[in-house]
Amino acid sequence: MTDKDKILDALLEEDSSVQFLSAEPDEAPANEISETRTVVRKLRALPEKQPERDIANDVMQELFRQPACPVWLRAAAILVAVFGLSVAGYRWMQSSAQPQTAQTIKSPKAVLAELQSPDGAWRDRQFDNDARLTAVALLALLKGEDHPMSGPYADVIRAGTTYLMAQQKNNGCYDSVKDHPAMSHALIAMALHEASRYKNEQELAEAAERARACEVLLERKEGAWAYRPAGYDIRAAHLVIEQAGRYYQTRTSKQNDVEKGAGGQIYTAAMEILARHRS
Amino acid sequence: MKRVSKGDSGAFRVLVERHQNSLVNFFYRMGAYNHAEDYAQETFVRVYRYRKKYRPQEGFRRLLYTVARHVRIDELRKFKRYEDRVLVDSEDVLKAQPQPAKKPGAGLDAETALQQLSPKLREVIVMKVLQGLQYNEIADILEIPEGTVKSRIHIAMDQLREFFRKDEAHDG
Repeated sequence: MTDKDKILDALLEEDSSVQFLSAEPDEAPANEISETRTVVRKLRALPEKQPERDIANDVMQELFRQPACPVWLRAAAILVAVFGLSVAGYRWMQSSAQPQTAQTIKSPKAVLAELQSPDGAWRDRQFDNDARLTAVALLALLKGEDHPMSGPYADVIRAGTTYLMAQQKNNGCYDSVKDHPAMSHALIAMALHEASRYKNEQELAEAAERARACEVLLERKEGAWAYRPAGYDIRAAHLVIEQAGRYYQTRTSKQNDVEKGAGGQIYTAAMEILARHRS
Repeated sequence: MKRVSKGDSGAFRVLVERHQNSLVNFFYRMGAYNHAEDYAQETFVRVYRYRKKYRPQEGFRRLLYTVARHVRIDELRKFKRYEDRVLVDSEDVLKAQPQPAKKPGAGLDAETALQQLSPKLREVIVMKVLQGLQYNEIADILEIPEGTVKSRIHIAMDQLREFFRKDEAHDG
């Protein structure tokens, strides 16, 4: 450090030794020292700027101001929002996928309802057995319901029984039943009887009795059918439907069934209903 | 500052109160005539956020003025962006600072003299003469050698003497 540096340092620090050093004109001219001292004094004489506000207070407020809600509450709100969005997203994904599933997996009773003809019958285009298929569909629709005549398929059932009563001859027989007449009439009789149990309509009960009488008549003429029940044992009717359904399905391929009529679908739906509600 | 780094907010308030005037004056003398208090506030906030990195051996003033200088540069960069100018370096930025309205009265000459200095020279003069920082502190804050600090002060003093000399000759 040169003497000049020392003089300047001393001036800036306001060291009293400046007086001594300034006495050496060779090293630091007196006028330069004097001028430097003047400059420093003038600079230090500049009026001090006074803050117009309480900076300390503002700083503390900025650093430690309380948030509108506690951190834990904000974190909880974020978690709830994330969870809600996840659930909403999951439901949205499910709902967008559901229509297809609902279309492909309808309840068997809904399938039967769709297959019903406007006149209340269930038909197969290939086989002339409307009354028997109608009885099969009715027995399936009546299964598993506490109050089938006031449930979602009440109108469907009513239309089916109305059709059976309308087609019944005075002797209780059905002309449309060509094959397995005894068994077919037994099924018709049991369908009408089951419906009458729930609806408590005399007409239905009488139609059921007439169909039963026809069945007995046919049995005498053609021989008893293999599963003749004792009285109106509905379990026997269900058993017949399941066995007839399996037999029906072996006779018609699925493709042919679609082309030829709804018999296979009616039996399949009926069998599924009975399987679901097997006691 | 040790207490502050351990989370003592009361100690930090004491620090702010102790240094706020000198920091406001630092910014003011550096030319931030309208925003000196805002810059000072921002400086203290940043210092608090850096409290965990504070090393006691370096001294609080080093930390305070280092942060203050960065605050000043950052704010001027914002100003430059606002003005839609191209930023080259902090030197250019510092030149872009707004000038104070000249007022008659004491200190006008000294203030004008300071304005005549380049930002680099003005910086060291303000730190040394007005803030009383040591050479080594200034060197650390500006990240330049101590010798460079001294040479800048010499140059600045030469320019200031010359300014006052001319001023007196003009008045005379």
